[in-house]
Amino acid sequence: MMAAGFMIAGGIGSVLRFWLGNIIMSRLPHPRIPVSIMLINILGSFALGLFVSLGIDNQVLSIVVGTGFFGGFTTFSTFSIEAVELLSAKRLKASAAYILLTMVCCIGGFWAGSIV
Amino acid sequence: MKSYVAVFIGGALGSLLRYVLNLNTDSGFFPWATFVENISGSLLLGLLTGFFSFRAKKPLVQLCLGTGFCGGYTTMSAFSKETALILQSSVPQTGVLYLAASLAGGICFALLGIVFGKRISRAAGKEKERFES
Repeated sequence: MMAAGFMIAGGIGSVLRFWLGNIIMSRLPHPRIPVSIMLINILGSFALGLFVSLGIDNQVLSIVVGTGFFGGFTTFSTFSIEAVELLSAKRLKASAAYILLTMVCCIGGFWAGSIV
Repeated sequence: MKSYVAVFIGGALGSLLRYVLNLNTDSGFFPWATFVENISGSLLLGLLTGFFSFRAKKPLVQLCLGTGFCGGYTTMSAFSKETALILQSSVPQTGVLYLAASLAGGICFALLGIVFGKRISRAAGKEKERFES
């Protein structure tokens, strides 16, 4: 039951990430850093903070939505690949900006969401 | 529409694997489950990226495995939550270690994946040529 809910929530989160990513990319076709996944990861971390701050008692709901949905919505693997691609292209400033912004804004984003 | 279905299926399966790993990993003082998922997912996405950089694109397969599976399997939100919580705990140095190890591990394994993915792709291409001639 829990596993099925987790799967569906993760699938929905992934589809939302894909959909939102396409929208951001169509608005900003040639960004200097890969803002699409960065914005999605920041948004997902912030929203998870908000969700945690709700203090939902129901354990199934908090795992399915908190870990399943937001885990599917955000991604670490694409972040790693994009960082490698910027580094391989010797775009050091862009890669440093991308990595720093993602880390600071995602961790800070969760924290900000959790105290709102 | 097809691409959304492909992403959904991959994302659901990747999430299931993450769920199983979360259940079976003892994350005492260090969030091992998320760490292992993010590092191995970066390796896998690297392999896929390298593999498909040299051959005909198969958009649906790539969306299902890359955007769906690897994206659903790895997570930035849980990473942010764990890092933020450990940094505020009595052992903030563990948070710094977790952040640095995830970042360095993710990037190194993604690079490793890309390099090996390209090799596998080339080797498979040569094998096919030999077979066909």
